[in-house]
Amino acid sequence: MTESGPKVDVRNVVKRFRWEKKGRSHELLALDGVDLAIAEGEFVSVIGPSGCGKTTLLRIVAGLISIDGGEVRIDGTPIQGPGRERAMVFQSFGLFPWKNVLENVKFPLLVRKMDQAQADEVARAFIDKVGLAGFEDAMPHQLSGGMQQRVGLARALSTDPEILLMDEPFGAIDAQTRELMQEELLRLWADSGKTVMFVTHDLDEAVTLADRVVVLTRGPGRIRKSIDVDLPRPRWSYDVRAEKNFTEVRHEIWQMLREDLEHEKEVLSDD
Amino acid sequence: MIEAGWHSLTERIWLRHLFFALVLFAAWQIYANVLDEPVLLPGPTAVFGALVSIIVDGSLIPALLESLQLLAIGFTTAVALGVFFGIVVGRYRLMDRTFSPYFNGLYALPVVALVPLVLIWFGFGLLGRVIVVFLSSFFPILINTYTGVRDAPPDLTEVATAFGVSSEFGMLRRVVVPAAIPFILAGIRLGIGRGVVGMAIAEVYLRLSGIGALISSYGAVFRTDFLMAAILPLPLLGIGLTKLFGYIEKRVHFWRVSATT
Repeated sequence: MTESGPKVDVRNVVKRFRWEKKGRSHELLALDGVDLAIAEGEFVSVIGPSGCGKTTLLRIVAGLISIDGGEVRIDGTPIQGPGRERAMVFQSFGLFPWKNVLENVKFPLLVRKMDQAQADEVARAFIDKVGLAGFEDAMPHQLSGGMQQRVGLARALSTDPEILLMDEPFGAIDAQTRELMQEELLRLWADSGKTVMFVTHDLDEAVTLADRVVVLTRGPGRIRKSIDVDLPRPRWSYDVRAEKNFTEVRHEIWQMLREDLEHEKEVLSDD
Repeated sequence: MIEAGWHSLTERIWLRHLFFALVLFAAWQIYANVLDEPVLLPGPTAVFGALVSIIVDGSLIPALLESLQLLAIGFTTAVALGVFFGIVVGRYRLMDRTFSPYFNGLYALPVVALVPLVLIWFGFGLLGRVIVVFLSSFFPILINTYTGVRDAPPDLTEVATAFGVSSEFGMLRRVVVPAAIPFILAGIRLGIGRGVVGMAIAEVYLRLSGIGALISSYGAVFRTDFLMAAILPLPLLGIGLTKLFGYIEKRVHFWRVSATT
């Protein structure tokens, strides 16, 4: 591991999607030369209008999809697909419906050939940490969205990843539960030293959680700006949203997103 | 409390079944008595008497066992090959494009139309009869497995990839096949019913054996009461086996509710 370099280093990444429809081939430039460096232990939110390629960027860092240019380095080494130092939390929770809570959390541990007894112990500890003790035997469909994502979080954390990749994890959860989940995520992350890349379209969420908010532009996705969020931690100990800094940062990002949206409106009306 | 509720509910359903059966049998008996043509329509008491006598004289049980053996061989082969090819064709696009038109075509073809061909190719020995049962059960199992495997949720395979499942075998074992289990079981349930039909076809049209032989021989001499008694095990077998698999299916099925909504 190189001490000075970034933990996650996205360099000039280009991604094109190609597909065929009625015999004609189509191409969409999703990401056009994205550079993003995330320091070890840093919490970075990636935000942008829908369709800007933020989820694509996250999935590239996760090693789930290939790229057409550039590279992604973790600790200075280019990635070759998914790796043990990374774990992902999915927007649609991604729980296996035929497995109960315990088995779902154990899944990555068993894939890594951990023995049953140890996997059991680790999984139970993390189920307890996310506040689901007593629900080990419950099936996913018996749980609320918030609880299902707690399972998703426990599953990711149980692998003790260095990097947590979160793809709009609270997007499908009702507003009140979402705020609780955000607070809980901050508690779980605090002092863990884990690097977090958190994709969201929720402006408040991005600012509340992150050390830095990265704004993507729309079609093709580029980094528009990176804004430091200078708010003291732990952030659950006070009302972050009432801080002056919060409103300023929020306003700055909102202006950018708004320009993007209005620009698009003009483009559409030009047609 | 819930347990008790369940029991009383199932008891009520059983009572209803029993009540309907009694009404049906009573009506049948009365009509048969009025008609008084035992060759056309023997009463249920006559059929029941015939059933008892073919059990007692030792002709039913060996015939049933012979039929069951045929069903077991043909059906288990159909499950094994149907699930295997269903996975292969459902999982790999090239296989899908190459083979699925044939599978769909053969699925629609009534097995009875293939009987002469089976006879010519495989003869009327055990092999020929097993093939008729196999052909009856195979396609529903194959096509259901195929559907389940093809529609395995891509977001779940992605989860598995993200958490380190890298081999094709691992993906099949951990995600694709478990996701397809409800479909596979539905295919097996359909396959049982069709297998029983195939069994009767094989035994009547290929070579007289088992239950099929009993049915044919009593039919040939117009012993309608014995004929009906010999037919009776077939639907009972179908109901029994389908119920058994329906029970297994339900136990594995519970999660599909959440997967589809």
